[in-house]
Amino acid sequence: MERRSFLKVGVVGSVLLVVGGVSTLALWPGDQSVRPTRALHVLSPSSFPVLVAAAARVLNGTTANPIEIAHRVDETLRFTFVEARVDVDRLFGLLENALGGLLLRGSPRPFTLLTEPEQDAALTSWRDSNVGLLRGAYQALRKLCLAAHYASPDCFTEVGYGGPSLNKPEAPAITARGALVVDDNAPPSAEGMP
Amino acid sequence: MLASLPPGVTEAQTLTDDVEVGCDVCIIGSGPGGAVTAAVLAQAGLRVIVVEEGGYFTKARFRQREDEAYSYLYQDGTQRTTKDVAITILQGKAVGGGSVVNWTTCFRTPDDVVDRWRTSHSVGSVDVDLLAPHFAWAEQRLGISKVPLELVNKNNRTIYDGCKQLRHDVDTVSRNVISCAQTGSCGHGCPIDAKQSMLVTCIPDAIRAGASVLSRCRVERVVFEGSRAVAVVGVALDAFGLAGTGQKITIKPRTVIVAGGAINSPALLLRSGAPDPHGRLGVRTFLHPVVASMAVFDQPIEGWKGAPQSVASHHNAHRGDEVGWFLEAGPIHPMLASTAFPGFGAAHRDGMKILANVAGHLAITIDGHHDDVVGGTVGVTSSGAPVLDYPIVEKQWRAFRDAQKSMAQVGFAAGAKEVWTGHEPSLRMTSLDDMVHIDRQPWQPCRVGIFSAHQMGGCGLSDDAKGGVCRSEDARHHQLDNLHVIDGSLFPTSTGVNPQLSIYGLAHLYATRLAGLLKP
Repeated sequence: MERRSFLKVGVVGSVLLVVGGVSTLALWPGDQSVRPTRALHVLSPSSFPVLVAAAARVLNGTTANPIEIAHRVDETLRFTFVEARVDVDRLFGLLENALGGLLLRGSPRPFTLLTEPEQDAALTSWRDSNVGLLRGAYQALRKLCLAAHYASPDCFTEVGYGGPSLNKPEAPAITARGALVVDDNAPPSAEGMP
Repeated sequence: MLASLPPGVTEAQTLTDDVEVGCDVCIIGSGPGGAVTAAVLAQAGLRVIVVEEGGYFTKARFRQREDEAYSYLYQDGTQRTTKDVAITILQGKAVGGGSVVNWTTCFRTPDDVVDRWRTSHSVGSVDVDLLAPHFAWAEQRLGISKVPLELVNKNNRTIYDGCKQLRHDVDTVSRNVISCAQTGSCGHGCPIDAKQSMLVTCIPDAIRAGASVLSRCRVERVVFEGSRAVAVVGVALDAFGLAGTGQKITIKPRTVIVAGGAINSPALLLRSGAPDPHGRLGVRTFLHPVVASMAVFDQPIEGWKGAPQSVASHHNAHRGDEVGWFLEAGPIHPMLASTAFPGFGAAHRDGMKILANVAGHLAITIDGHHDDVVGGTVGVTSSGAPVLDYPIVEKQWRAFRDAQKSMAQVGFAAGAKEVWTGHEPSLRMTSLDDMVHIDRQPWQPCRVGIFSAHQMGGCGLSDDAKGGVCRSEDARHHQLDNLHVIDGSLFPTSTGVNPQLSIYGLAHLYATRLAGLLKP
């Protein structure tokens, strides 16, 4: 079967992914001082601080904690297929890689060492790129971070969302080998029903 | 080694032994196609085993929470996209399949669409009259009825009012609900079982008739010997659906029904090495690609309240040589809306702050009805995962542009003070005069938000083996004697309406035919 990469778009894409993800051309080391606060599932330790920096820009001005967002993204990525996971991890390598930065935005400085306006400009350059791969990478990064924040009750107040209309009890925690089905006969109570 | 499965649902993550069982019929997938088929065949006295990759989630776990629902009830944790990431694909995954998370809108397949299947795609054994009693069965079994106008929420009402102002055809839709409490959470699993999904209808029907359902079982491949499918081979997954538990599942049926839905069904057959001498497997996969419009009002809309969809306009569905679309509402919950709103940083945040005042309008474009709009092609990765390559052709881009203008007209006619597009960056219109800018927006993949909630095709019906995967008499695979496909992947074109009732009707028709053919 043909190896298909969900972010891979043509020759340019292949080259960029190699530059960003698997090369060791760390010509300019980035800021690796931000550490995970719990175990990572999908992302490599070197990608984590890049994602934290990107999440801070994507969710600028919200109540989101970029480190927590990065962890949620890492946990969300477990649900996708292995090739996509690899590509997303490479995406962060591409964002940080000095050679990639030089080729794509004319600056070899890693993303984590850019000023906030420069980081915004880097994301915008991907957004507006003529290279489909980079636009796709921008969208993937953007949506992962946004979903990680706005799926959480943390955001309800800030967007004026009242949350669930029913006051249902917590379901039992999901465990790897436990049954999912639970007794469904307990009636929910209604609060603020339209 | 387990040599039998009891009637009812067995959650594969709880198994401690491998399973190797025989049966009359193994149905792969428990969504609208698989569940209807399971019920009909089990009621006909056949020994039926349904295998489902999704989990056995029931209403106690449906708590109107996006963070829980999107991780567990959708394919790839809601990260499924086309290969180029340009189209976000919302597709359910659970016992009950997409019916657990769809927005309950029901239309019979339009007559002109069924007629086109006959005239243009060699579907000789299905017609409007043949389908009618099967639609009627589904409407009765699933409580499908038309929404009264007084139950239309503000989000949908903006479409109704805007279309009325413009003299566009518009009406309320039918929904498969009983005693709906208008929680607005259809997309997260109905918290009160008001939605008559497969989870609470046909799956229990099948179980009462003796069927077994094995959830959290990922089917790796169907094994073929010559022109026969001899085994369905899978693995048990943990309750999260993330990793194998080590238990192997082998089912040896007389007949295999593939019902994994569009994208998944062709992918399963591809990775199983099913015969495909004419290259039809996975091609003509349709998505009803959607472009969105956000209409901003002075007053609260609170698009998270009430039935997500209760109104539709098919005013622009038929546009001759041009691609048409139909207009429906999109519910406004924070996570889904956040990914639909373009941009990042302060601009995005400012849009989210007025979420309560935003109405979501969706132009659902109709693919597969023009010679140059042939949909996408499903492939598989080296790990066996489905990948959909879906190039958007110029005629579709034109439809997106026209639809964006039409949605702006509807929004302003309904009283919106601004209408935003899903472009990067968003065009924010304050009057109809601003519509001139729509054509100048970047109409490119990943420069405008495009979504799909309707996946169809990929194992298309055609009585000509060179034109499709399955024949229309009994949905049997052209090259495999005992393998049938019964799900939305059978459609030779998109349906031009929300597809769930089309799947129920077609599945019931084929299951009824098979019940007669397969009886021991």
